[in-house]
Amino acid sequence: MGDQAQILPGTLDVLILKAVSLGPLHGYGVLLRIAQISDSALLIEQGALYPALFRLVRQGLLKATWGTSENNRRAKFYELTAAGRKQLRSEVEGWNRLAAAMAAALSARQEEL
Amino acid sequence: MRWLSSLRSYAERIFSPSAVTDDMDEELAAHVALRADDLERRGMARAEAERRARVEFGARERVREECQEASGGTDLLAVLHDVRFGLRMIQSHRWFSAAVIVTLALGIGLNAMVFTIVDAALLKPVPVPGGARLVAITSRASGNGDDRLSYPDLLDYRAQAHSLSALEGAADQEGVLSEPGGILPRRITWRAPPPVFSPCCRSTQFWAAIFLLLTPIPAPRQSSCSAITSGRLATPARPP
Repeated sequence: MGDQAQILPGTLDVLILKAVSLGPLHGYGVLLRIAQISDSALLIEQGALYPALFRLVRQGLLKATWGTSENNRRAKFYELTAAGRKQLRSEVEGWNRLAAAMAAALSARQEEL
Repeated sequence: MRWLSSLRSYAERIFSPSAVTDDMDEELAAHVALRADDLERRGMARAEAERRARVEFGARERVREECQEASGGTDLLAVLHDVRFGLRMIQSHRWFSAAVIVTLALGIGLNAMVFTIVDAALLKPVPVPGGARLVAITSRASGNGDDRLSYPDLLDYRAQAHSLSALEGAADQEGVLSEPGGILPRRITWRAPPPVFSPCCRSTQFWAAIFLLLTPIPAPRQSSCSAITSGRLATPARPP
């Protein structure tokens, strides 16, 4: 728990889009996938996940269909739509630019100025 | 196509709200069950796993409300609920509702009537060329009704009326109006410029030059108004 970080505001949507882009997932699966791809470094509150999922469905970025989970439970599975894929590409590019800029700014040394 | 997704989401919320709520409940319950399955696989007793899964998830009712808000259409649904509630109240308190509706109808009708009168009498321009600029002015003697104005006074006002394009006098006239077809003749009164002022009256500027003054003034010459005509103009025997 000590190594886990709260995600930054506004980053939950892009994390969900990324998790779902790797394959259709139910809500609990999204949580597990985010933990998996972030090496359990990102902590998402379980109750906060579903409003974000419903918002993304309303925005047409995700598509939801009922199916059966791996342990035979009925669950709603989410997958990316074409608009969701486009949105994910755009968000990833923005994050990469921001991360590179932050890395450059934070690694600056006096002799380089 | 985002608008299409939003529209579909709104339509589902509005036309089948219980189905959407059931759908949410089932999904949230499935999440808790899947989490409990996971904890059970790690060696926890089923009952304890379910309890822990519920605690970790938090208040399901709150999450459901947040999901409903995220689905959109909450404001519209609130309006629909209010309308339904209002209709139920009207049905259950019929006499009180009837009294309220009649009161509102009378209030609205009276308001509309007063506005119509004000609009017709004060706001709407007179239907003549330049009607919006047409004004009339009347001098009133204190306690004696309309005051008369002499023709020389009118000439003075006309000479000093720099804010008007033209200024004309008018006098009360009376006559009888009758029509064929059995309608009884009626006595009517109108106000018209005397024949001695006729050249000015034929111009359109004339119609933009009559002032209406409803408040009494002490004396025409001391007035700050730029032009005044009297209701009963004293017509001179001969034009000057």
